[in-house]
Amino acid sequence: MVKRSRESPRFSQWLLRLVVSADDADSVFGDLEETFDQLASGYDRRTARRWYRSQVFRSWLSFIYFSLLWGPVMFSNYLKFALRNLRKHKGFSFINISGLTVGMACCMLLLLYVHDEISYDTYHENGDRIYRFVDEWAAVGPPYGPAFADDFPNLIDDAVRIYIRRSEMNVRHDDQAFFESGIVFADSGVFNVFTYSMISGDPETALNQPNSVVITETIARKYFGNEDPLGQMLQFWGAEFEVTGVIEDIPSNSHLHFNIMGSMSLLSERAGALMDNWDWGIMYTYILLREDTKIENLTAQLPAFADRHFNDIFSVSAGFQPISSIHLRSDREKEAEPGGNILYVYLLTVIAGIVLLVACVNFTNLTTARAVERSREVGMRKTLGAHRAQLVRQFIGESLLLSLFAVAIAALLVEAALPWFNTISGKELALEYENYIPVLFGFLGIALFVGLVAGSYPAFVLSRFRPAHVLKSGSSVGTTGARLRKSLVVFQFAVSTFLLIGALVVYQQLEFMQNSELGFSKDQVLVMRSDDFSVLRDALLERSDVSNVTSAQYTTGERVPFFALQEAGQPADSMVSMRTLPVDFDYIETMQMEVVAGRSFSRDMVSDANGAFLLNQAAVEHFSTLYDWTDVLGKQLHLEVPGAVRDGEIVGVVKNFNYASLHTEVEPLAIALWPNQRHVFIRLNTENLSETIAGIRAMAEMISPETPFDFSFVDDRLDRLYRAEQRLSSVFGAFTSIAVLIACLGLFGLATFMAERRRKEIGIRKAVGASAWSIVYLFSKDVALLVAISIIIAVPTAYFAVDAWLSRFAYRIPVSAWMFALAAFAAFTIALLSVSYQSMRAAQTNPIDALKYE
Amino acid sequence: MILSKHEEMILIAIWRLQEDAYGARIRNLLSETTGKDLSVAGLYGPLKRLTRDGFLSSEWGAPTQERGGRSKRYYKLTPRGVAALSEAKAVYTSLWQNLPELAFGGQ
Repeated sequence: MVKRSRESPRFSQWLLRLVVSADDADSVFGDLEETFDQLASGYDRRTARRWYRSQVFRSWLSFIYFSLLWGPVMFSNYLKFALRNLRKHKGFSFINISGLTVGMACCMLLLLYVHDEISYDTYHENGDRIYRFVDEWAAVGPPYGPAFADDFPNLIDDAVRIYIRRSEMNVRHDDQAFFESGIVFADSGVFNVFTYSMISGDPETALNQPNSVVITETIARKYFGNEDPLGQMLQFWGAEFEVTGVIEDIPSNSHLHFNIMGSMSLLSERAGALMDNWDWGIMYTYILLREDTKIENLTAQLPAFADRHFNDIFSVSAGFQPISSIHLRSDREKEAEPGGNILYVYLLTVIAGIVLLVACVNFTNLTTARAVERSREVGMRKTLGAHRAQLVRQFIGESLLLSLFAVAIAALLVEAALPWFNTISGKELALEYENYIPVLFGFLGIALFVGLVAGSYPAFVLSRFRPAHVLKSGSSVGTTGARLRKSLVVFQFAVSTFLLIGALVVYQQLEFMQNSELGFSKDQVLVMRSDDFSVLRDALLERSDVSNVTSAQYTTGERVPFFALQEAGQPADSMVSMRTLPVDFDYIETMQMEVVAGRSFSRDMVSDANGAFLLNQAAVEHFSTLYDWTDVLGKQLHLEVPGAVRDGEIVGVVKNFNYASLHTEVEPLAIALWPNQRHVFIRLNTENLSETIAGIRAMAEMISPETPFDFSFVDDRLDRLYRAEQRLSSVFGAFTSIAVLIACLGLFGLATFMAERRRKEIGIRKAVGASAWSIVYLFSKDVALLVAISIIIAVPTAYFAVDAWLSRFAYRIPVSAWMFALAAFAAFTIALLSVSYQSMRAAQTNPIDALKYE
Repeated sequence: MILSKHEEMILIAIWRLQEDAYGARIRNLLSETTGKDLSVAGLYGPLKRLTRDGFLSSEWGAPTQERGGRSKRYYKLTPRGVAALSEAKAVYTSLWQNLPELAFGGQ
């Protein structure tokens, strides 16, 4: 029976306990108790209590001082001890650390990616005051910008427009000539609004003159080498431009990139009256809000603005977008560049969290299992009277050491993996420690937390047991926490199965999009630029490896713009906006599209030479409803493009083909006969691609020596439409493998312990005649059940997720059972393989070895 | 000096107590001898440093009822501790030896 210190002052005891180290606690309190008793019996209780309190009062600060003094020394002792333990169990420690390390590294990489995605356009100094005006499309007519500036000087500091020249232009300086994309034109106030660091030149005046141009560093180096670019001349678009400024390259995390920026005044000169057309939606229009006002004030003025300028109302989708939201949240027609998607950002964040969670769970699981084995050790120590606190500290210390080590290695791993990750994600990520200090502390914190939890769970659980109980071999201590461990395994495999299914579906959908019937034949079609089409065509057709040649104004995968189209003779207000593709003869034949009514363009028909049209089926439907046609062939159409008109007869109907990505349904399309376009499509018929390309290059260079030979293949260009999905597929694939790897590591580690712990049991079984296979079966049975539960959890969840993702595509694969079955099968196989090594080894045990230590 | 006066007294007390040298006993002995009630902190700090520096060794004893089930820590002088004490004694002896008479003003 233990005498309770009921008489000694409890509060003082508690106070002192706070500052006395666990080692000394027994001695100190025992001594105090002894003396207290002596005093209480020798004098009286009151004296004793008073003495006790005075002791506590006098000693309190000193003990704090001691713990500070001796603290580091104790720490280094624990460190030495923990290291020794680690070295003793190298295999286990390695598995445990690697699981946690890999998990943390993945989480870090994913978070780096996410951080980059949400940081788009945040580098502008005025970023929180820059808004883009949009309606149904991301780009609007030219008059909006100036109109906003004029009408709202009390709300807006500046309004600028940017026009992106979609197709490449031939840019030249002396003998340096290249095709450049990334050419834009902007109002001169652009440098007031956006932060483009100007290296040389004056931002106030750089774009004032129509023939001025601002270029990026890379372009400067490309055309002018080390010479000073300022004042030098560049030729493109049929004009001479003077370089008036050089800026740093546009950072990758921008929604809009460019290399060469010309002045909007030039565009005004060339476009003339079109600049007053509110419907000519080609300008990205940005406003810089005044500091003393809010965007809502401006938005409230919009209805009045609409009324004032065009006696109409805005559509519901019109409004102002904060610039930093464009990359992830804006997905309208005519976006400057394909953006990211906020959904994917959420998804990746969740995956990062899951991977980390799985890794931490794993770590805890393995640490706990290991602690079970040391339960014997615990038993012995308790009989010697060591403190529970000491044990707890030892366990925690070891697991903290492991987890901190894991974080350090994870950081190294991330550094090493960044080049590869940047390639598959298409970004330029870097681990800049100064910027990520809070995140680093976060990871340190996570490591500490995981170490603490993983270490304290076994410590608290085990140190509660009576020594005698624990010393008995195996005992129920082994099953403690078994339920927890099993549910952790189930969780890990459920997550892995879910990710496997996801990866499969994403991959399948991608394959489908890249290979599906598009309504035309995309293989072996080479696209190149040329200004001398007819000469080139004649030359090309002489070759045996070329089967057909044509030209068009836009390449496949490029957006086909809207133009004004109507039935000839109808009133002007019945003009519709329809996507129109100007092409040469033989376009249908070269692309191998299907004509379902009428005929394709033909050189034999004289009338075609003046103008002819083909419509796709969707266009036919559209016009038929609009104009109430009963048949289409022979109707006359009137087309207006900037600077020209075209009239012609509808000679045929083409079967709908996917000229845009499979995200969207096929929209109405008009194909106008307009010979000698600049994108040349060459259908090849060759076994030796490189030879053919070389031959064509030679030809092109002979015919147009100043034009650089730039080519691509139609199927490659189309693939690029699915870049976002391709990236998702890679990222998904990579991280699924990792999650599965971690789950396997965990299972493997656990299997090791199961095997170890049940050595005697196995020995006995073998001794009474069990076969090796029955042992393996024993091990595998448990695991199989756990995996089965995981699959039951994972499959329905995955189904919902996958269905939701696929609904974003107009053309999609059906969600079929085989994907789930395959993932489930894979999960089973992986789990059984992980366990099989240990179960095989266990099955080989010589019963004598197992039992001789009994 | 390797030992402070206080530490020296603790070591001697442990020497005197032999088998019985644990916290409460040491403290009692010292309190009686000096007439001052030594605080627990004043004992345990030096005990720790002396153990760490190798002048003392300690082992755990059995728990007892008077102490509410807690065990005692018994201390023993190590050879180094003994040597340190001898040295201290030698120093004092030589300092105290053959001191001249003290003369105070007026006497």
